[in-house]
Amino acid sequence: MAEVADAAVGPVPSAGTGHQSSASGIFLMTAAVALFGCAYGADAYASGQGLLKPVLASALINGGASQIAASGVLRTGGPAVAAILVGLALNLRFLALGIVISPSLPHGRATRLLSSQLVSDLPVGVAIGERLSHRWRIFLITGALLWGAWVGGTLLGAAAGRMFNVAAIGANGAITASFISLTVDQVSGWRAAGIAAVAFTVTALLLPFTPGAAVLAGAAAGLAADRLAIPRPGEVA
Amino acid sequence: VSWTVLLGLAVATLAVKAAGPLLLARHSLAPSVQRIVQSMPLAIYPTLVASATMPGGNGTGTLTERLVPAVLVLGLLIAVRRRNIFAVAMLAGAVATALIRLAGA
Repeated sequence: MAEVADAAVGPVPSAGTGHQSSASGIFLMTAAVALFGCAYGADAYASGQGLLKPVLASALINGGASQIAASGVLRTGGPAVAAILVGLALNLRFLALGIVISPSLPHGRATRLLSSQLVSDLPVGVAIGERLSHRWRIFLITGALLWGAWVGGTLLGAAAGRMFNVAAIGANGAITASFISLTVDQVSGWRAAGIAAVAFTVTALLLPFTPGAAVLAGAAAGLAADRLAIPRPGEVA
Repeated sequence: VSWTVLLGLAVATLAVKAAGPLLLARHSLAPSVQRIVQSMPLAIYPTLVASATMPGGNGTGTLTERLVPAVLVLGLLIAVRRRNIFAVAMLAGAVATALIRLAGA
């Protein structure tokens, strides 16, 4: 199970090493998430989604990459179903993370259902670096803090987008940078780099022709490459 | 996002998050399924980078404005090789984009 946990929280900056659940570590994370939220809110407002939609999306979905990807698919002319599928594909990792944190949650279905909604890369990553007796508390604190930062950041960004042109301060550059960091965090060794390159290239080649399907096709190509490529000895599969 | 996509994705995501703690508390996923779930982020994030930077994607601004900051951020992340610089990478991306825009490239 520990292996699942480590792999599943891959996109987390140095997740599971324990020490980042220090107050300063959690503060830095909260700041980064708030910044990401601001960039998302500003970008969403700039693309005509208004204020309510992005804030509600952040509060309910609480998965930045999927929210941006879904609106990206729509913006490039893809159908609603493709947008939901792409977003859902990105959020499927929460299934694994939910299973990882599951034993640390208290009994009682209502409590479990409510706390499961805080499941996200960082809270689970931080919690599983802790002793079993502390996990529930740390998960709850980190999860609530980061949820607040994400929703608050989105609101702030969208409100700022109302007042001035956020493209001028490079909000979209920040979002691209966040995807690049998430990718780099996933890449451990040449095999993973190859899979990432396949996913990137297939998407890039298809974008001018079928923008709506390009992301899905690229991800499918990446998964296919992952199945076909034989892991080298000593390399993380 | 349209309301359909917002609500559809919200309901689907809430279900995915609740599934583990509610249903699978005493079981784990089949290894083959686990493997696919684990590989998803690696297969998906690069496609988002592509659609944010390459022609035909959802990026705004000129191609230079999208590509140059992306290459700089990638270089920074590879050079520094530390994992806790998420915030720094985002700031770098924003600053680079803003500067190139300002320069009118």
